Amino acid sequence: MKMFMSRSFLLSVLVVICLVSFMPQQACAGGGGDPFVGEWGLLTDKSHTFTIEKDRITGRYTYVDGEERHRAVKEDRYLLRVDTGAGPMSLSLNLLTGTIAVTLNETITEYRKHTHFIDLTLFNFIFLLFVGLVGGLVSGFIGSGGSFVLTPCMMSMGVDGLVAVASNICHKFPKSLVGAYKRYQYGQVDLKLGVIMAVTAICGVMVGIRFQQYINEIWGDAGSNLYVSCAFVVVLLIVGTIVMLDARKIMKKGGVERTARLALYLQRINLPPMIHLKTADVTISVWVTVPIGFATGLLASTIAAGGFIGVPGMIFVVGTSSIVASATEMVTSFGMGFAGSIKWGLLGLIDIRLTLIILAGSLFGVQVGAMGTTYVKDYMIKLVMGSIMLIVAVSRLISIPTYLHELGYLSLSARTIELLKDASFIAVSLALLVGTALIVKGMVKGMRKK
Amino acid sequence: MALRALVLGVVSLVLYVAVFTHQGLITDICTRGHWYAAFPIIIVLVFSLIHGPFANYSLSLLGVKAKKKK
Repeated sequence: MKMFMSRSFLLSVLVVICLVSFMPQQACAGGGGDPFVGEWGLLTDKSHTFTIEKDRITGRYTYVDGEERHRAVKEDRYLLRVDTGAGPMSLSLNLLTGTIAVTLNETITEYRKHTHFIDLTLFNFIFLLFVGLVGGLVSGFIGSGGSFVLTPCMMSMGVDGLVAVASNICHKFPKSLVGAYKRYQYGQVDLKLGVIMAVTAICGVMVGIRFQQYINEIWGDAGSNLYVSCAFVVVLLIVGTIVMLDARKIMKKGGVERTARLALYLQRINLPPMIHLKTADVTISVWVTVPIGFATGLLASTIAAGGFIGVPGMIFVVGTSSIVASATEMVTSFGMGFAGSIKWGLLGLIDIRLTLIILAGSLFGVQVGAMGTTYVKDYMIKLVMGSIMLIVAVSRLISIPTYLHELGYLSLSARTIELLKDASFIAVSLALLVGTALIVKGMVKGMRKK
Repeated sequence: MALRALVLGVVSLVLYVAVFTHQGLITDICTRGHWYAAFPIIIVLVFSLIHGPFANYSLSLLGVKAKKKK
């Protein structure tokens, strides 16, 4: 309760709400989808429908109404023009309401996108419950990184890509809230740092979405996917290797974690405003923390795992311990998840059933993960995080040839593409399972010692 | 603690059963967009406030507890 009443926490909620109110206007195409593409039905009774298709390579739009097909020209980000036999027609997208206003012969009609929600089977239910549990366990332990496997898992069940992203994000913020509260009870959360990180991360998400839209407009979906995969591979390979090497070094030296040299150097720079981070026991300039939060948001909008930059950033740049960094990341994750949920909720893309199933598992997992941090030495967090990051980097590396094929730079058979997709999915799942195994092993070892 | 876990568990179960027996209606409300965006957010918050403590008490009953500070 003390955590929820603290000035820092209330301030962060207020700032997040203010920032989110500016988000919807620019947020729709983020997360890997074109807001125009899909099936649209009359808002009133859905008696008339049309579809907008987009060529993955050329980026050209086609308006399909029954048997009729017309080329659609994108006038600007929110406006398509179609020259039909009945005269020129304009399709104006309203990102705030998630509707399209179709103007034909001065008559305006509103349409809403049809979202296809899957029928839940018992297998899907149990599968999501399990993935939620395992994802929550990893998130509770390393502060982030448990949810990135959920989107591909849901998509493999037949869930639409955007619905999968939306439903995943909506489970993320309550899970992070519970995890952050749990770790706050253990005295591991630095609220001041978490608030700065959350606010700057949301700014990073906004810029990241804009950048994604820019790439999507130039190179289409395949270009966007290629950019995401390359960002994944470069960031995760570099940061993952640094984290892993550091964990091994600490292990060899008996498990005592020391503040990174870069952090010690930055802590000596007296650039106002200076802040004292009580839990982390660090005094540092705000200007050092801002870029880390911003980069976390930027990465979160690109690969949905901003913690992979946020946690190492807090450890190696700010100079916090691994335990404090991973706990504080949950506050950042809450801020981004909350903002994302409002964004996707406005577009009506959250499948609440999927969200609640994942949440049922992850609320158990996140608390076990948080408890796990009290049994292990600090370097274990680095070890788990480094392992997951490197395996995920490999999974994205496997996907790159597929996107190069879609862009026309490589020629692959359909069978090879399927194999690469399966291999990538298996690698992501493996990352989560390896992380879980390391956490459980560390916990059991710690409990036995006790 | 066992009683709290039991009560919260029953409430949590009732909420889940209520959602899944009325999934058509609830999915429809949550996907209308605009101001209806508040519904999924309120729903997940309510569920986490019930299911979260239930998970906590259940884990404690199972013996999964955080290590006490020395």
